[in-house]
Amino acid sequence: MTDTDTSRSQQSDSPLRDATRVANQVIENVEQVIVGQHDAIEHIVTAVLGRGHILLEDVPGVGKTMLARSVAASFDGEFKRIQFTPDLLPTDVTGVNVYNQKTQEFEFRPGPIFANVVLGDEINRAPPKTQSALLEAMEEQQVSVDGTTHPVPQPFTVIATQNTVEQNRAYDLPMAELDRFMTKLHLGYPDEAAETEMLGDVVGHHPIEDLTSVATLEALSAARETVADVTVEEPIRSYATRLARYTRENAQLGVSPRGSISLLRAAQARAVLDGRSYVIPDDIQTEAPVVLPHRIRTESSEQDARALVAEALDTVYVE
Amino acid sequence: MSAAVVERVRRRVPWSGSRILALLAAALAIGAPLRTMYYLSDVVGDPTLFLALTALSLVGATLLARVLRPPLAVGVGAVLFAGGLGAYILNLSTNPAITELLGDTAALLTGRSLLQIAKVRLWVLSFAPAPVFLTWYFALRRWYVTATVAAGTALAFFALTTDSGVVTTLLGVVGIAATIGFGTLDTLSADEPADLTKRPDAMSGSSETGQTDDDSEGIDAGRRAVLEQLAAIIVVPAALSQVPITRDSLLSYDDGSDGQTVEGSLFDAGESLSVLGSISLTPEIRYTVESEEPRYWRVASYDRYTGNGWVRTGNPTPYDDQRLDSPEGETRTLRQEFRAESTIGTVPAAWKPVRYSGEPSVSVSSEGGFQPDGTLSTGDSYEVRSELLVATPDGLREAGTDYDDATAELYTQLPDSTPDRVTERTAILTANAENPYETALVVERWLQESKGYSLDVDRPDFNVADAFLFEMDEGYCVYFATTMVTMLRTQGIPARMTVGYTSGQRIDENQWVVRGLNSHAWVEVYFPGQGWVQFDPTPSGPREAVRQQRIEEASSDESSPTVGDDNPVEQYTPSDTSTPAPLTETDETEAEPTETPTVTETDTPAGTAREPGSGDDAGPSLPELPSREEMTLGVVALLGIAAGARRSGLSGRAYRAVWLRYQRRVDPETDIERAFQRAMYVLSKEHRARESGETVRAYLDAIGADDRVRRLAALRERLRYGGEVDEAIADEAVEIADRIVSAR
Repeated sequence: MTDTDTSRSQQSDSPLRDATRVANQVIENVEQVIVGQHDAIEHIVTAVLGRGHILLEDVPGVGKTMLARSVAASFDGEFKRIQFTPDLLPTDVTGVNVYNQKTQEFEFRPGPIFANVVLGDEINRAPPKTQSALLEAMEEQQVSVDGTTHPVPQPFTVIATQNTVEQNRAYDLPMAELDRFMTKLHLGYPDEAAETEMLGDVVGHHPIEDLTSVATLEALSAARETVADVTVEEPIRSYATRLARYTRENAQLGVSPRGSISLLRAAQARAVLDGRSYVIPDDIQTEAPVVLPHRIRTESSEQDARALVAEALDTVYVE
Repeated sequence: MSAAVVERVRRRVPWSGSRILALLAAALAIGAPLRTMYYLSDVVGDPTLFLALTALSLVGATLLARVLRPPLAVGVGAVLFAGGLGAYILNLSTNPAITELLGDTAALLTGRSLLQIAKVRLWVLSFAPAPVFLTWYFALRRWYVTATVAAGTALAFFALTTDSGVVTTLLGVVGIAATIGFGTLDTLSADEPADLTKRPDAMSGSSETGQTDDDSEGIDAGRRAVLEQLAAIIVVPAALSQVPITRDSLLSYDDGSDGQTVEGSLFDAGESLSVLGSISLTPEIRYTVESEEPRYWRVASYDRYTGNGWVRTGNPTPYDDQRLDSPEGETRTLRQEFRAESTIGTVPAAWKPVRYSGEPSVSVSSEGGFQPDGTLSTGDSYEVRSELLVATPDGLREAGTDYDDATAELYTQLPDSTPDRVTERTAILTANAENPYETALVVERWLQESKGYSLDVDRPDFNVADAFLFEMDEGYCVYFATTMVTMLRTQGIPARMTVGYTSGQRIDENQWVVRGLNSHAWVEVYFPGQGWVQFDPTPSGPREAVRQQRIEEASSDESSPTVGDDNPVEQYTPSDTSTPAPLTETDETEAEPTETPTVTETDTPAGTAREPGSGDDAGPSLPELPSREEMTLGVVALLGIAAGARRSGLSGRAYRAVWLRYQRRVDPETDIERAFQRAMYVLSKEHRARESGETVRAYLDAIGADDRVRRLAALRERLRYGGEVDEAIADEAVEIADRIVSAR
C-alpha cells in the first residue's frame, strides 16, 4: 500500500512518536520568532493538540498577535485574522448570503471564521453579539447564517487575544463564554536577556516573514487522534475531580465539569508532548494553572483565582 | 463471611464505619438488660412472648425512626412505659396493688432480686418494650447519648436489683461507653465534608502505604481512643480484683445472684441461694437446742428455681405474737429452745413453727417460717413451739392431687429452659407410682441409691438438676434436693427446696449441739389436706461418714469422743444406743471458742457457705471456663490493648519493620506498588515525607533522588497510569526496592 511508503518516508514507527515529533517541530518553529516564551508556546501547542481554543491576555505589545501568527504559520492550513472593533458585525465574522444575479439564488459567502486557524485580535473590543458569533463556532464547530448551518473546516482552532488596559472601552467576556477557551495565557514581559535578543532579531528583517509551515493538516489531525487515545486512569480522574471540588469549596464559582474535561484533554496533549501514552499527575499540575483559573470567580480579581489554583495544587492530595 | 456481609451492607447502606460500630454498641448496651430480662422470664416460664415483644419493639423503633420526630418518640416511650405499668398493676392480685408495687419497687432498688417478685414474668413483659424502643429509636436517629440514657436506666435498674451479673453489667457499660464514643465519631464524620487534602477513602486499597499513618488520623484515631477506653473499663476492675483487699467484694458479686448459699442463708436468712461447686465443712458450733426429740431444724425454704439457684418470692410480714396457722392435717406440739452459739442471722425451728418468743424480734417469711429482723448474738436464746404433722403413709397416699391454684402455680414453676429429658426420665422412673406420695418416695429412693455423696464437685454451667441427673455421679445435699424438687415439679407435684440443720450431736437427754457442718438441704412436698412433708434424697450413710471425719479432724487434739449426729429417723428409735453420750465432754465442746461467722472457713455440707471473707478452698466461685459474655469482654479488651499498642507505635513499628524488609510476591501489580511504597518509605525517613500536593516526580526532583529510585518510580508510573505491567517489570521493581532498603 502506498500508505506504507509515506509513513516510512516520515521515518515513523508509531502514531505516538509522530504526534510528539509534530508538536515539538511546531514548538521549535515558533521559537525562531518568539523568544523567551517557551512555556507559553508549549501551552498553546498543547491546547491545539487537545482540540481546544486559546485566549491570550496581557498588556499590548508583548507579542500576543505575533505568537498567534507564528503558531498559525507553522501549520500548512488556512489562516485568517479578524480584528475585533466596537463596530464589527456578526456577519463580518461568519459571512453573509449574497444574491447571485446569474443563478438568481442566494449564495453563502464565508466569513473569516472559515479557516483552520483563526486569530481573533482584541476580542473584548467587539460587542457581545459579535463575540458570540465567534464563540458559537468555537463550541459547535459550525456557523449559522440565516437559519442554515455551515460547518467550519477541520481542524479548527481559535486563538484570541484581549487587552487588559483600557478596560472601560472593552466588553469583557462573560464567564460562560470564557469557559469555552481551553487555555487562557498571560504572556508577561520577556526577561532581560530574552528581550535584548528579541530586539536584535527584529529590528531589521522580521523573522516571521521567513516562517514556513512544518506540519501538514493531516499530521495535525492524526496527532489530535493520538492525543484523544491517551490513557487517563482512575487515579488521574479522581485527582482532577478533587481539584475541581477544592475550587468549588473555596470560591464563589468553582471549576465546572466542562473545566475538568478540558483539564484532562490538556493533560493528554501534555503527555503526548512528553512522549507518553498515559497521563501522570505531573501533566495535570502543569496544565491546571492555565486551564482552570479563568473558570473560577473569586470574590475580587482574577489574580486570586490563579493563587487559588496554585493553592489547590499545593494542598490537594496527589497520588 | 461476616466481613462480606458487612461489605454488602455497607454498599447498600451508605453508613460510615463509625455508624455501624455505634449501632452495634447500642445493641450491646440494650442487649445487656435484655439478656437479664430474658433470663428472668425464662426462669418462670416460656420466654417466647418476651422475645416476640422485644422484636416488635425493635421493628417498631426501626420503622418509626424514619418518620417520627424525637419529641413524639419520647411520648411513645412514655406511653409504652405507662401502658406496661398499668398492665402490671391491673394484673396484681393483691389489693391495694399500688402499695405492693411501691413496696416492691423500693425493695428492688435496695438490692432485692427481681426473681423474688411473684409476677416477675408479667413485670418483664410490661417493662421491656419502653427501653428497647427508646434506645433503638434514638440510636438510629443518631441521638446516641439519649439512646444510652434509655439503655443505661434499664441497666442501672438491674444492677441495683442484682439480677444483672457483674459480667453482664460490664458488657452493658462497655456498650454504653462504646455507643457514646463511636456515636460522637459518627456525628462528627457525618457533619464534616470529605477533606480533599487527605487521601480519599475510595482509594485506600493499598492501605499499608507509607503515608497512611499520617493521613488516616482523625476518625481512625478516634476509634482507637474509644477502644482504649473500653479496654480500660474492662481491664482496670479486673486488675483491681486481684488486689487482695478488694478481692472478696468483687467475687461476691460474681454469679449474678446474691452469692449466698446455705450457710450464708443460715446466717442471715438470705432470699436466694445459688448452687456452688466444691465445698468444705466447718465444725463450728452454731446452736445448742433443747428439745424432746431430734428434728431437722429448718431455716428457710425456696420456691423459685432459676436453673442454678433458688429464690424465695414474696415479702416477709412482721410477727405480731399471734399463733400462726398449723398444718391442715393432724399435728402434735413440740417445744424447742434454741441458744445461739455464734453470731448468726437465722432462727431455725422444726416445721411447722407456730409460736415464737424470745429476745430477737422476728418476721414471718412468705412460706410461713420465722426469720429474725436482725442478727442473733452469741448467747441469745428463743423458744419456738412447732406443730409437727402426724401423717400416716396411707393418709398421704390418699391426699390426692387437688391443689389450690396458688400453690400449684408457685411450687411447680420450672425454668422454660429445663430440658425435656428431665421430665421423661422422671416419668419413666415413677411409672408405677400411683400417687404423689409414691412418686416422691420413688424419686427419693432412687436418688439415694443411684448417686454418690461428695463435697468435691464441679459446678455445672447450666441447669443444675439436669446436670446432676444425667452427667454427674455424685454431689452433696443441695444437688440432691434441687434435683428432687425439679423432678417432682416436672410431674406437677408441688415441692420446694428447704435448708436448715440436721438435729446435731446429742450431748444430753434433751440437748443437741448443732454445728456448721450440720447444715443441710432437703425437700418439702405438699399434700392437700395434710401440709408440707419433708423428704431427704441425700444418702445418709456417706454423709455421716464425711461429717464424722470432719468432726474428728477438728477435735482430735481434744480427745473428745464426739458423737455423730443423726438424722431424726435414725435418732427416733435407738436414740440412746447410738449415742452413748460422753456427757462429760459437753462443756468443753461448748466452750470451744466460737469465732465470728464472718471469718470462718465455714462451709457446710448443706451447701456451701461461701461467706464473704472465706478464703479457703471452698469452691471456685469464679467460673472455670469463660462464659460467652466474658469472651466478649475479653475480645473488646484485646482490641483496646491492640489499639493502645498501635497508638504507642509499638505494633506499628514492628509491623513496619517486617513490612519493609520482607515482600511477599502476590501479582505483578501489587508487587510493583508495594516495592514503590517501600522505597518511598525509606526516602521519607532519609529525606522528608512527600507532601500532600506534591507529585512523585516533583518529590524526587526536590530530594535529588538517584536513578534507581527514578527508574522504580517510572516503572510504577507505567503501571499506575499506563496500565502497563508484566512479571519482568515486577521483578525489576522488587529488586530495586530490595537494594534501596538494604542500602539504607
